[in-house]
Amino acid sequence: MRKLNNKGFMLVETLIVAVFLVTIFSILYNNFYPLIGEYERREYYDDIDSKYSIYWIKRMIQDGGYSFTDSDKNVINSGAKYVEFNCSKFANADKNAVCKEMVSRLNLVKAYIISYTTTNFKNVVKNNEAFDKMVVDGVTHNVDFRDYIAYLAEFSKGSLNRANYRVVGVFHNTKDDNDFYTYATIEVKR
Amino acid sequence: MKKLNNKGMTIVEILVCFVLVALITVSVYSAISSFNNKRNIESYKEKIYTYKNTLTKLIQDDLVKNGLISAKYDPPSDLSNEIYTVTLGFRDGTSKKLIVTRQLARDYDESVAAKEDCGDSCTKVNDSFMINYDGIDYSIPDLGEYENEVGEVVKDLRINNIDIDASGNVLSIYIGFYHPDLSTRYAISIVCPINYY
Repeated sequence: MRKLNNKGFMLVETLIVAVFLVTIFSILYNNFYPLIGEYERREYYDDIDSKYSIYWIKRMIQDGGYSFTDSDKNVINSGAKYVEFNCSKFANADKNAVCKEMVSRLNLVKAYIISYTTTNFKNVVKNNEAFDKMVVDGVTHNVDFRDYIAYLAEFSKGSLNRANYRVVGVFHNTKDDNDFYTYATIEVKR
Repeated sequence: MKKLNNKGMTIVEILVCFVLVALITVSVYSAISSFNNKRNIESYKEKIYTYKNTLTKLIQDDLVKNGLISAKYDPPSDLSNEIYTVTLGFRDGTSKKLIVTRQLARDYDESVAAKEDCGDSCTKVNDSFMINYDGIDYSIPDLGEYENEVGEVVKDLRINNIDIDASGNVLSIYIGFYHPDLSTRYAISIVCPINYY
């Protein structure tokens, strides 16, 4: 009759398997844990409020009264790759006043007009930490703008509406006890 | 014939087993309990999101597509049953009303003081919130409730801040919500220029 092997595992064998399992689980944990943070961060990207907010910024840029010159277009296409949205570009005093009121009520920190395809702007922003420390009226805003730009698609296929530009905005929510930033982008046809 | 091993387990082996099983049970229980908490909070968020997004989209769609040419704001006259009314006038000559009604139960300190003062004979005011847009009521999501010291119903999700401003050719509407687990993170926030065409 065949002799049974009832010796079981050795301690070393058990330890090796345990270490192996712990290593696999720690690798899995380290890979999945950042995804939770990523998911929570994306709550602040292109939410409905900032999407409508950036829509109104777009409407002001598309307004014929907003000065958007060939020089601005050159800067976007072959210079710095972006120009900042600024209410002073409205020559009309009434529109300038409405623009300022909108910027104030929307809590707009900054808005950048860039080309429709985000590839060039992504490269500009990627290695420039200044984009995460936006200074407006002497106040520094510590934002996650570079993360948002890295998350954005490249829009390489072009716009169905034949838009050549887009605007990217950062909004600071300060009502009640809130203190967080939201980000949104929308195409601009000029 | 093969000799059987009938030795059984020692007390130390059994104890070690018990300790291991207890440790695993405790860690699994705490993991499941924290997961349940997170799941509840996510479900609250989802309900608030759905509510706020539905209303925001309804109102903003009108503002964007119909074009806002006038906005008249009537603040509440009675602070025990606040009614905030905004009348929106559109380019096509139509108008729609946004009415926010809020009635607040006493907060904790007030209810403790009231109980000492009038006991069970206190006048009771339950939490009540309603947003009506264009004649349709949109009740805020029911995420639970409790009774304060004088037996008034206090909702877990409350409208804690209403800030409406139609000055300077810009309309801004802010309806802020409060929930014990989410604080004041969520709100209906609408900003739109008036007669900007």
